[in-house]
Amino acid sequence: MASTTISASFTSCQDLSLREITLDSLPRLKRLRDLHFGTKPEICLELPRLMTYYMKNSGNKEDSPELRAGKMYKYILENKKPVIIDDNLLAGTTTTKQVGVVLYPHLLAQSIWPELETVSRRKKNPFGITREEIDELNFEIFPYWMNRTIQEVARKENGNPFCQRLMERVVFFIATKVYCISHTVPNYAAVVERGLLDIINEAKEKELSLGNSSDDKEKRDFYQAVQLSLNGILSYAANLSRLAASMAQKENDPVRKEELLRMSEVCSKVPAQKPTTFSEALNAVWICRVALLQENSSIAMSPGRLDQVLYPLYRRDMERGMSLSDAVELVGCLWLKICDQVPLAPEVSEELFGGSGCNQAITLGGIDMEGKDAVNDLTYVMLRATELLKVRDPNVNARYHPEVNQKEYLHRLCEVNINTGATPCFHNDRSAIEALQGQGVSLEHARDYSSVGCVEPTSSGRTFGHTGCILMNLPSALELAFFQGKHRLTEDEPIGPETKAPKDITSFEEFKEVLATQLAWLIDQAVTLNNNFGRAYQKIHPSPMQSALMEGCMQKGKDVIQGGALYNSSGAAMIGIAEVVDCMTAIEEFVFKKEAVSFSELLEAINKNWEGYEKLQAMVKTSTEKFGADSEMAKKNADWLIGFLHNTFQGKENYRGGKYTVGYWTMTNHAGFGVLSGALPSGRKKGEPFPSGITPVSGSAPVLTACLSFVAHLDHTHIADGHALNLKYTPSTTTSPKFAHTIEAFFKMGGLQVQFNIIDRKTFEDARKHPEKYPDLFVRVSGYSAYFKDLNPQMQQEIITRAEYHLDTGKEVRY
Amino acid sequence: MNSLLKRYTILPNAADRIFQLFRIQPRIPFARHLERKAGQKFLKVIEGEVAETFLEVLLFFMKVKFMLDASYRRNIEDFKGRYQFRSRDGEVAVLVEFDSGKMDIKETLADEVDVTCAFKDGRSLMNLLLSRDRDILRGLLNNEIMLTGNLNYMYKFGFMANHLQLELTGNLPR
Repeated sequence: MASTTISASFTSCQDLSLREITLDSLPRLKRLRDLHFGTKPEICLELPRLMTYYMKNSGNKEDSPELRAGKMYKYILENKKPVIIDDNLLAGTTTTKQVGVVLYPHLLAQSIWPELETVSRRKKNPFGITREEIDELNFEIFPYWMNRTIQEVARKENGNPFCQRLMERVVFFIATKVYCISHTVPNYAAVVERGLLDIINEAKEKELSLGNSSDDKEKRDFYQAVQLSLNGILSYAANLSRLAASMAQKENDPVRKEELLRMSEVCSKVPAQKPTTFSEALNAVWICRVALLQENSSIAMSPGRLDQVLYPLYRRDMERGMSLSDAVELVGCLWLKICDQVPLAPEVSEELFGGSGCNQAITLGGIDMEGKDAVNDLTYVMLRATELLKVRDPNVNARYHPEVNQKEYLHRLCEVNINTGATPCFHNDRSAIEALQGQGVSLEHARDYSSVGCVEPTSSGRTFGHTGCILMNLPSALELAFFQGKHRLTEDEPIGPETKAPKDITSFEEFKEVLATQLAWLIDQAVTLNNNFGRAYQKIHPSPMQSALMEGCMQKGKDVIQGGALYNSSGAAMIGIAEVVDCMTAIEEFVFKKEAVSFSELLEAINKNWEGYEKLQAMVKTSTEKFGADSEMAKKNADWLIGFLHNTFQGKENYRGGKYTVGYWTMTNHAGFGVLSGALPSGRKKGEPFPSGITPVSGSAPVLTACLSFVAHLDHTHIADGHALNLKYTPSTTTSPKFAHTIEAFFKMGGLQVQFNIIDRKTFEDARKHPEKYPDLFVRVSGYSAYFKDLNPQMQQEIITRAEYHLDTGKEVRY
Repeated sequence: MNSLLKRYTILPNAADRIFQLFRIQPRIPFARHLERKAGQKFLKVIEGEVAETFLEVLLFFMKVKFMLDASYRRNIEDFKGRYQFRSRDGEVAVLVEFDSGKMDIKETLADEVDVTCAFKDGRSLMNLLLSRDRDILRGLLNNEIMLTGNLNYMYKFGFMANHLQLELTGNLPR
C-alpha cells in the first residue's frame, strides 16, 4: 500500500504520483491488461440478434417510435447474456466477448457484409467471427435491415437527395449519424446520487399527472419508454447478480469466491438504488454504461467528470479504510472495462481512416460549478491508473484553470504525459468556459463541462450535442473555388455552384468571395444531410435510456432526439484548416501581392502535382507567411476563415432547434481526406496527409512560441466545438517543469486545448517496421489516443513527420 | 456484354421457367460441367487475364450457382432487388433482378432500381467486389466507381460475389 495519508481535505496525497502503486503490486490489473492486448476482437451478434428478433416478432406497428424503443430495450436488456468473463471486479460486458465489436444493425453494420468471410483474416485489425455467425448475419439479420437503416430511411424520406449522394463521394464531408449519434456525456451523477428506481418513479409520477391532449399522449409514451427501458437495466443487473452468485457457489478459490459473492450483492442493489460505496458506484456507472451502449454506439459516448461524480463515495470509503491501492485497482478495472469493445471498421475505412478507438472521454480536474478548485485525491488516483495501464480508451482529458488550479497538479499532468508518451490532453478551463457561455450555456453549467470524444467541451449531462455530426474536408471547398464548382477527384461532374474562373479573379478579396460561396454551399449540403439523418432518428431510433440520463428530458417529457435536453447543439469538425489558410496566404502573397505567379499558372502547377514547377513549389513552401508562424497575413486569413465558418454554421438550425458549433479536430480523417486530395497552392503534393486538428503544417512553424502564440490568438469563442493542437516534444529535453511552463504560457495567452506525443522519431520508425515489438505503443492522433500499430500507413507517416520541438531551444527539430 | 451469357444461360433460363411453372427443381443436363466451366472462366478473370469481361463472367457464374447450389441459392430466397450495372462509357448496361429465388439478367437501362453501380472498367468493378487484391482506395482515388441508391443492396451483392471467389480458391472460412 502506498504511504499516503488521506484526510477530509482535497489533494491530501503526500506523493501525488502514487509511485508505490505499480502494476506489480496490482497483479489483477497486470493480468487484465495483458489479456486486453493479447485478445483479438471478435464480432458479437448479441445485439443485432435481439434487435432483429424483437422487430420481426414482437414489435407493435401501432407503437410510437418512443414506445417501441422503450419496449425493445427492455426486451434486449432482459435477454442480454450476463457475462463475468475474467477477474475484473466489475460485472457485465458490453458484448458476450472478451473484446467485442458491437454491430448496430440500424446503423452501418451492413458495411461489413461483403467482408464477412474475410474480415477474420485481413491484414490490418482483423475481427474474429465464426461460420455460424457469418451465416446468421448473411441470412437472418442483415436482410431484415436492408431498408431500415438510418441512411436508407433518410434516403427514402428525402428522395435520395443530392446532399446524400455528395457525401457518398467521400471526398467532401462525412455526416456521421449514419454510424453513431453518441458524442455526449450522460448524467452519471443521477445514477450515483439517485439510483434508477428513483428516476423510474419520477417518470411514473409524471406519466400519471398527464391529461389526454395529443401533446400529453407523446409525453406519456416517452415516460413509459423511460420506465420500460430502465426496468430492462434492472433486469440485466439482477441477471448479473444471479450469475455471480452461481459462479461463487462453484468457485474453489476463497478469495475469488468472496469477490463473486460481493459482486452478486452489489448487482442486486445497484443501479436500482443509490450506491453507498465507491465500488458500488463504479459498478452502477458501468452497468448503466453497458445498457447505454446497447442503445447507441460507443463512439465518443463519454463518461465525463468521473473524479467529481464519484468523489463523495471515494472519500467516504477512504475514511472507512479503503487503501489507495484498492482505489487504483477499482478505477483500473473500470478503465479496462471501457475498452472491452472496439468500433466496426470495414476495409476501406481501415485504409482511409483506420486505427481509431471509441474515443470515450474521461475528464479530470478543473474547477467546480462555483469556480473553485475541483482537483481532488480521486483525480490523482485516476491519473495513476491511466499512467499504469496506458490503454487507448478511455481517452483521458485534463482540465486546468491557470488562476485556480495548483501548479503541482499541472506538473503531475505533465509527468503522466511524459510517462505514457501520449496522455492526458490539456484543456484551458478559462477559454472553454467562455466558449460555452458564448453558446448560451449558463456560467455554472459551463464550469461543469466535460470533454466529449476527442476534445469537444459540453456541459456534463445537460447537452445533447452530437459534437462530431459533420466532418468537413475544408480543402475540398478550396478545390471547388479553383475549378468553378468542380473537384479534381470527381472530374467533369459539376458539384458546387459555378463561380468565377481564377483567371478572371482580380483581387484577393474577390477570391475570398468565391471561396466563401463554395464553403457556404458545402456547409448547406452537410447541414441539410445531418438534419435529414436527425429526422430519420426521430422516426426510427429514439433513445429513452440516454434521455433518462440527460437533464431536461424528464422535465420536458421529450426524448433527446426530439430536443429534450437542456442544451441542443450540433458540432461540425473542420479538417485541414492550416492547409487552407496556407493556401489562401500563398495566393495572397504570390499571386496578388508580389505577383510572382499568375493564378492560372499556379493552378497549372498544382494540376501537374508541381512537376516542372519545383522552383515555384520551393518558393511557396519556404515562405514564412504560414499558419503557426509569426505571420500577420496568415493570422488575418485564419481569423477570416474561422469567423466565416463560425458565423455560417451558427446561422443554421438543427432538427432539434439548436445551433451548429464549429471545431477543429480531425481524428484520423486528415490522413484519409489527404489521400483523396490533389496538390495545393501551399506547396503540398497530391495525396499527402493534411495537418491534424488545428496544428500547423509540419515544417511551417519552426518556433514553438510563435506556434503557440498563433493558435492562442484565434478567437476561441468561435471554436465552441473544441480544437486539437497536436505537438510533439523530443523526450530527452522534456522535463515536467519546462513542459508545464509552456502549457501555462499557452493557456495564459488564451489557448483552448493542446496535446502532446513525447516519443522520439526513431521509436516511431522502428515501430512502423516492427509493429510486433510495440503492441502497446500508443499515440495522440488528433484528440484521442490510438495504438500506433493499428494506424494506417498514411496516418503513421503523418505522426512520424509531425513537427517535433526541442524544449531546450524551443525550435523545431529537423530530421 | 458479349454473347457468353446468351450462350450459356439458355439452360439455366429454361430451368427457371420450369421452376416457375411447376415449382419443381429441374435436372439440368451437364450441370456439373456447366458449373465447372463457369468457375474456370471466373477464375481466369480474377487471375487478371481478362478483367474487362468480369461483370458478364461473374453474373453468369452467379446464375449457374443459384441454379445448381441450394445453399448458395439461399442468398436470394425471399429477396427482391434490382441492380443496374453500367459502364461509364455507356457500352455496358445490365439490369440484374432478383425475385424470390430467381436471378434475371437483362441488357437494358431501367428506371427504378435499388442501386446503380457505374464503373470505369471490369477491373475497377472487380476491385470493388472481390477480396483478393482488393483496392477500393484506388477505385475512389481514380473515380472509378460511383454507387447511387441503397448501398445495403450493394453490400449484399458484394458478399455473394466474394463468396464465389473464396469458394473457388478454397478460402471459405469454416
